[in-house]
Amino acid sequence: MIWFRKHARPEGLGIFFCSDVHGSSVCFKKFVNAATYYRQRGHPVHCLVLGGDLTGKLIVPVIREGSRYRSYLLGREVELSTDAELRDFVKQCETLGAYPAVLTAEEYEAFRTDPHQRDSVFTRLMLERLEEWLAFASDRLRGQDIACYILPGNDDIPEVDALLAQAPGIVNPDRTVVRLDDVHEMLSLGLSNPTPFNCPRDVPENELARLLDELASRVERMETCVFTVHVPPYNSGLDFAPALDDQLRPRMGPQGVEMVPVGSTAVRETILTYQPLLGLHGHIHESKGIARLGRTLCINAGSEYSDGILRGALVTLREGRVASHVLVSG
Amino acid sequence: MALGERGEIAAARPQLFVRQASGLIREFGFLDTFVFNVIGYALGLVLAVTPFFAGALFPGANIFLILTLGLVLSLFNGLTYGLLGAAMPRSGGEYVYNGRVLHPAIGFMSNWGFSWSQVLGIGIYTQWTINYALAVSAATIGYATGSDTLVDFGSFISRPWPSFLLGTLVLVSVVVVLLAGMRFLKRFLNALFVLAVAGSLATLLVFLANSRETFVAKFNQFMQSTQGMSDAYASLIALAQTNGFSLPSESLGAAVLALPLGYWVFIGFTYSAYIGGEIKEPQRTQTRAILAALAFGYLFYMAALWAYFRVVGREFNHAAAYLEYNTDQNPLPVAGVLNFFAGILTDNVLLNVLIGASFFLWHYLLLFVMVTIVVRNIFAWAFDHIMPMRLTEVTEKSHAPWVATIVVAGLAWVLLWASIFTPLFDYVFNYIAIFSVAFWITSFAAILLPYRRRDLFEAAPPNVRRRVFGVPLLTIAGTVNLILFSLILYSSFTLPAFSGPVGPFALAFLLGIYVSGFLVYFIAAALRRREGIDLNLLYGEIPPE
Repeated sequence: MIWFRKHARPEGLGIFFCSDVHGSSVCFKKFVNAATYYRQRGHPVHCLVLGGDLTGKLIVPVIREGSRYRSYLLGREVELSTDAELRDFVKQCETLGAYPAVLTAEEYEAFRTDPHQRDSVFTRLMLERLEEWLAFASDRLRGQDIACYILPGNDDIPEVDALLAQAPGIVNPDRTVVRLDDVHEMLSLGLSNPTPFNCPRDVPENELARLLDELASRVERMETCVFTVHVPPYNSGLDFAPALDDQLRPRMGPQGVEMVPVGSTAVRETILTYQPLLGLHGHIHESKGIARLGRTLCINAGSEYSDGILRGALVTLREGRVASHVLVSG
Repeated sequence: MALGERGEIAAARPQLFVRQASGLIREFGFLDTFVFNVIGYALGLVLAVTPFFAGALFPGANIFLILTLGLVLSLFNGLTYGLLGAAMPRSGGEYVYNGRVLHPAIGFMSNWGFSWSQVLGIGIYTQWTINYALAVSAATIGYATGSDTLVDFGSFISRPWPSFLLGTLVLVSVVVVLLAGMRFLKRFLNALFVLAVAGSLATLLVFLANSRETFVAKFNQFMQSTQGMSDAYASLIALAQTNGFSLPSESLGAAVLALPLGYWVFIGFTYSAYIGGEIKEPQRTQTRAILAALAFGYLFYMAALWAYFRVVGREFNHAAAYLEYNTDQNPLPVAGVLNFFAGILTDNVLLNVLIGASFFLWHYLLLFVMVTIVVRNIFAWAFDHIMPMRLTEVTEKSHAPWVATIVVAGLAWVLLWASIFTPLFDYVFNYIAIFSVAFWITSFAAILLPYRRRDLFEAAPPNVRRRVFGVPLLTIAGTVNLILFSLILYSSFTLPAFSGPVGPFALAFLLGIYVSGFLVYFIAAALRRREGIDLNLLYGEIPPE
C-alpha cells in the first residue's frame, strides 16, 4: 500500500528514528520535538519514525491515606503530604514510563489481589497516556512539513492500533510499505520473534518470515528501501541481551551479565535476501549500535527511556544511499 | 494479557506492578556489582606489595592509618561516582558524566586520559606479571620445594628478553581468550578467580596460624639454607641499620603524605561506573555496591595486614623494604612480597603452589579487566563517531570486539617493549597522576550537575537529590573529591618513588595525553562535519515540552 507521494529533496531525506519509549512522556515529547530541534541546528529532519513499544510496563500504586499519600519507587518508600509533592511524584513516574494510580487502601487491596482488575487498570492507563501523547503530537506537528510515523511494537496491546489510526497527522505504517519521498520507500513491521515474556505481538519466526516476504513483494525498489522492523536481525550485534536463567534472571559472569543474541532469524534472512538500503530496529534496549548485513546498514538506536533520555538515530538518505548516520542521545 | 509481580517488596509497602513485557532484565544485582568492583582492585596483588611499599616509601606512616585515610578519601570518590552513576546510569564512566554535565569534549578528554592510564598500565602490569609475579612465585615455590630448576627459572625470566617474550605470550593469551567469546571467557575467568581468591585466603590463614617466634625461626632456617645467612631476622635489621635505616616513629603527617598509597589500594572499586548500563536499580545499587566493595577491601586489608605485621614485625618489614628499595644489599632472594613470607611459613607444597599461583593470577586477571574497560571505552567513542567505526567490528561467531581488542593489545605490546627495553617509563609514566586527572575533572561534573543539568538532577532518585544544609550532597561529594584529588595530584608529583617520575617530561607527557584528547575530539568533529555528522548533536538535550 502506498500512503504518500513526496518529492525527493536536494539536501536529502532526513530521518529521526527512535524506539522503545515505553510510556515515558518525556521521551515521547522529545521525539515529537526532535525534528524542529535538529532542524534549528542545521540538520534537516523530514521524517520522524518511532519504531514500536510505546506503552509502559509498570504501575505505581499511590495509596491515599487521609490527606497524605504513600508509594514506593526506585527502591524507596515515598510519603507525600502535599498536592505539589504528589504532582512532582506523578511527573517523576511519567518520566520513568511508569503509570501512577492513586487508590484508597481498599482499592489498592482489591487491585493487588485481583489480576483481572490489574489487567483492566493497565489497559486503561496505557491507552489514556497514549491518547494524550497523540493529541500532543498532532497539535505540535500541525502545519509542519514533517511526516510522523509511529508503529506499535511487540509489547503494545492490540488496542493501541485504533488510537494510532484516529490520530490526525500520525501514520501507523505497521505491516505496510509507505513512500517517504520519490526515491525511498519504507517497509514496517512491529512484531517480534517469541520472547521469554510472551508479549502481545510475539509471533513465531516462520510467521515473521512469511509477513516480511509478503511485505517485501510490495517494495518497488529494494535498493532504496528502508526496513523499519522492531526486532533486530539475529546475531547482528544489535540484538545482544542478557542470557536468562529459569527464573528469568540474567546469568552472571565475572565480566558482568552474559549476553547472547536474541534477534530474529527471519529478519536476518529477509535482510540478507532482499538487501534493502537501511534497517531501523529497536527492541533490545542495551544493544544500541550499527552493523552491516551485506550492503544493508542496520541501526538499533537503543533505549534509555527510564531516565528520560531519548536515544535516536539521525540518518540522511541522498540519491539512494545513506549519506550520513549518527546515534544521538537527547 | 498476563500480569506478573516483581520486587519482593515488604507487605507494608505499596507494591509495584509490572506487566509481562520484554526488556525487564537489566539486572546486574548488588552482589554482582560488588564482586565486579572487588575484582577491579585486585585484592591479592595489592595485599602482596603493600607492606613493602609502605615500609620503603612511607616508613613513618601507620599502615592502618594510611588505609583509614585512604578509606575516607575513597569514600568521597565512591560517593561521587556512585551518585553520578545513579543520576546517569549508563556505561562509560566519566565519558558520560563529564560529557553530559560539562561538555562532550571534556567527557571524551577525561575518558581518553583514563583509558591511556589503563593502556600504559597494561604494558607495565604485563611486564610485572612475568618478572615480578611469575618470577617471584616460581622462586618461592622453588625454595619451598628445594627445586633449583624453579629458582633458576624465576631468575631467568626476570631478564629483559625472557620477560618480553613471555609478556608477549601473556598478551597473546589475553587476546585469544577475549576473542573466544563471552562464554569461554566467563568459564576461564571464573575458574581462575576462584583460585586467586582461594590463594589470598590461604595466605591470610597462614599468617593467622603462626606467631612471630615461628616466623623468626623459619625465616632464619630458610635464609641459612638458601643464602647461608645466619640469624637472618636480626642480621637483616642490623644490615639495614648499617646502611642508614632507622625505624621512625609514626606520625599523622606521614600518613597524610601517604595518601596516594591509601587510595591506590582501592583503585578499581568504582569500576562498575563503566558498566552502569547493566545494573539493576542503579539508582541505589551503584552507590551501595561501590561503597560495599570499599568497605570489604578495607576490612580485608586491615585483617590481613594486621596478621602480617603481627607475625613479621614492623621493624623487620620496614628494614627489608629499605634494603630492597634503597640499597643493592638486599639479602632476600626474591622481591619481598607478602606471599613470599607466607610461603616461608608453610612447608606444604600444595599450599605454596596455591599462594604462588594466586599471586600470579591477581596480576593476570587484572589484565583482562583493564583491557575490557579500555575496549568498552573505545567502543563508546567509535559509536559516537569520534573514532573510526571500524573499531566497533566484532567477530562473526563469538561477537568479540576483535578490532578494538587487537588495537589495545597492540598498544600494550609496544608499551611492554618500551617498559622493558627503554627508560621511557622512568621518565614519563606517573600512573597515579594520569588517572587522577580524570577523577579530578569528574569532581566538576558532580559539583555542577545540580546547577547545569537541573533536568537530570530533578529526575534523579531521592538519594542523589539529597541536600545537606541546603547544599546538594552531590556538590559536597564533588567538592571533597576535588580537594582530595588535588592533594593526590600534589602528592603524586612529590613522591616519585611511589607514583612514578615527576620531572618535566612526566608533566609534559601527562598534559600531552589530556590535550591530545581535546585535539582528537575536535579533529574528529571537523572530519565528521564534512560527512554531515555534527558531534555537537550527540548529546544535545531536546526540549520535552
